[in-house]
Amino acid sequence: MRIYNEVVTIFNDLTGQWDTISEDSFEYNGNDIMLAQGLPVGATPINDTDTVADTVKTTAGYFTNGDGTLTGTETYTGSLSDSNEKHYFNAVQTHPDSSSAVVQFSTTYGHILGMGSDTYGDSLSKADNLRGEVQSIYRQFTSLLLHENEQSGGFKISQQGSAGAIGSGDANGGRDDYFYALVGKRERFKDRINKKAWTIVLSGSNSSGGGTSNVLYLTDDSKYASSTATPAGPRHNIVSGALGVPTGSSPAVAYAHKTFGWFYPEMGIMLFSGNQLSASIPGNTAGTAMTASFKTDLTADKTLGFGPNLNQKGNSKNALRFINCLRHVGSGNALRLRSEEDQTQENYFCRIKAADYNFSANPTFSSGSDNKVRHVSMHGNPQTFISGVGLYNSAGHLLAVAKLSSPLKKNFASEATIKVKLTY
Amino acid sequence: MGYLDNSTIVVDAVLTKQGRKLLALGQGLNISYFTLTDTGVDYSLWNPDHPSGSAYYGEAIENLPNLEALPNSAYFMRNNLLSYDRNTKLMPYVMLGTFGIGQTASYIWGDGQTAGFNLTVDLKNVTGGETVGWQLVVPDSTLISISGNWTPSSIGGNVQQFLLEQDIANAVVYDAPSTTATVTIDRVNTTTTRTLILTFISKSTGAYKHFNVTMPKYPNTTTNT
Repeated sequence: MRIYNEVVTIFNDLTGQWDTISEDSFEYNGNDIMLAQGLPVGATPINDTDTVADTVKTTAGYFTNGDGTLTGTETYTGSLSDSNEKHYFNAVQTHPDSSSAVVQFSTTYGHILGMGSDTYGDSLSKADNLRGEVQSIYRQFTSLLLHENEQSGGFKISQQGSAGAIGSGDANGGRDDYFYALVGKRERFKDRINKKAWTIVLSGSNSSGGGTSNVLYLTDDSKYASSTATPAGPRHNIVSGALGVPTGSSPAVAYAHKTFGWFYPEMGIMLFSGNQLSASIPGNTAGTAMTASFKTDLTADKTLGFGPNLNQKGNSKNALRFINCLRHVGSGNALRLRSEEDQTQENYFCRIKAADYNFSANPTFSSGSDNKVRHVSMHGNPQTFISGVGLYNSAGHLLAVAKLSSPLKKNFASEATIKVKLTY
Repeated sequence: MGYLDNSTIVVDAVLTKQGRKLLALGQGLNISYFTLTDTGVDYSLWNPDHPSGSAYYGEAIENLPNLEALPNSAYFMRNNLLSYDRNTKLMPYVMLGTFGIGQTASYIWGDGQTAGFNLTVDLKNVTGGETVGWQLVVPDSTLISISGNWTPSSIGGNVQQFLLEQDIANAVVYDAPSTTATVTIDRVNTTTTRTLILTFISKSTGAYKHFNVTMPKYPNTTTNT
C-alpha cells in the first residue's frame, strides 16, 4: 500500500491532464493488525453534541499575492511557444521579463469554421483543407460546456437578448460563430471563481478608430437570476454591470436585454459572444485585416477591438485582442476577481471537568524514590498545565493534535472547554 | 462590575500522519475521544517561593509560549494528563526487577552467555497493583523473543504514538493480563553488540518504565565493531 504525504501537480495545457511534478510517498508494508488498538488511559469521550461540522467558503483575491485587482497597465502577455500561440495567450501581472511575472489567466478565441487560423494549408482554393486551431478551440469548448444535444449547434449566447447581436431567426439558428474566452488558472481560483464579486472592464476603439467612449463593464447576474445547470456546473449570464449588479432598472432580466457571455464559476471560464463584444467594441475596420499584436502603448493600434481577422491562411492572433482591450483600460482596474475555496471544518468541544486531568505522567511532576508529587504545595491541590490536545478515533489512533498558544493551568477548582478546530 | 469572560479557548488542530492516511484511504476520521498533554512543561519551574503569592507559583510555566502544532505532532503527546483522587500524593510507577523510580533498569548478557532471563514487573503506589494489564514495546523483535504470558498485540493507545508515526517495521507490542508478574526475555545470535530499549506500560495508569538490554556479539568468532 502506498501512502502519500504530498503530491504536487501542474495542469498541462497541451494534454488537458494534471501532471505530477513531485510526490512525497512511501510504501507501507506494515502488518494491518498493528493498526487496531485500544484507547489511551483516561481518554474522554467527545459526545455527538460536542462535534460541530460545517463547510466554510473562503474567498481571497485572485491575483498574485492575494491581490483582488489587476489594472490595465499591469496587464502583459506572457511568453509562450509559437505552437501554443495558435491556441491561446497567457496574461501576466507585470513585465514578462520580470522574475516575478506569473501567469494570471489565459485568453483564447474560437471560431466554428476555423476562421482566424490556417485552414487552407497547402491548398490554394480549399478553405476547409485543414481543421484550424481556433476551430479546435471552438469544438473543445462545446464539448466541455454544452449538453450532448447542443454541441453540434454551437454556442447561442447572444441570441437570448432582445438587443443581442444575433437574432434567433438568423441563418445559423442564432449561433455565435466565434467567441473570446477568459480561462482562469486553477491554482488561482481554487474551487471556483467567486460570483457576484467580479468586474471586467474592456476598452477599445470604434470602427473608425476612435476609442475613448467604447468601454464595457461586465459582471454576472447571479445575484438576481438563478443559474442554468450544465455538464460543466452552474452557468450564469455575463451582463453589463459591476460587482454582481447589472445596470438598468430590471437587473433580474438584464440577460433578456443583452447577454455578453456565459460564466462558469466552477470551471473558471468566462465565455464571451464574439458578436456581442464586437458590436460594442468593434475596433478599427482596417484592423480586421491585420494580425493582432500586444503593445504597451495601444493608442494608435488598429486591432484594439473584437472585430476579428477572419483570415484562414495564417494565425490572426485574435485572442490577443482580449488582452489588448484589458490593457487599454490604463491605470484603472481592468479586472476585479476573487477565488473561492470550500474548507471543511470540524469543531470539537473538549469539556474538561473539575475532577479530571489534575495529575500528570510528566517525569518532572513527581520526584524521589517513591515518585511523590514534587511540590508540597500541590499535595491535595495538584496543578497541571495543559499544553496540547490529542484527538483519537475509537480504535485509539491519534488522528489530530492541537497546541495551545501557552500552557493552561488546570486544578480541582477549574473547568475548561477547549474548542479544537480542524480544517481540511 | 466587570464583564465575565465567557470565551472558549479555540485552538487549531493539524492532522497527524495517521489521520492523513485514513483520509487518503477514504475512511472518515470519526474522532470520538480526546486526551490532554503537558509535554513541554517542566514542573520544576513551579515556584512556591514566588514573592507575589500562590497565584503566581506557575507564572513561569503559564507565560511560556508553546511551539506550534505540526503534522508530526504526535511527538508532543508524550506525557498524558491523568485523573486521580484529589489527595493522591504518590504517583504510580513501574518497578522492573529491583529497579524502581529514578534507577536505570538494564540487563547485559555476559560474554558467551545466551540463556534468557526472567524479569519481574510490578505497579507501585496503586493498591492492588495493575488491574487492567500490561504492554511491552519491543522496538526490534528480530533481536529478542518474549515469552511467558505475553502475546503480540498492536501499536497504539497507551503505547507512545511516535512508534506508529515512524513505521518502525520490526516494532512489536506485547500484551499481558493484569495478573502477570514476570516476563522471559531471550536473545538471538548477533555479529555485533546490540542494544535495545524495551518499554513496559501499565494500562490502567499509563505509567511506564524503560529497560535497556545489551547483547554482546555471539558466537564470539568475529571482531566486535
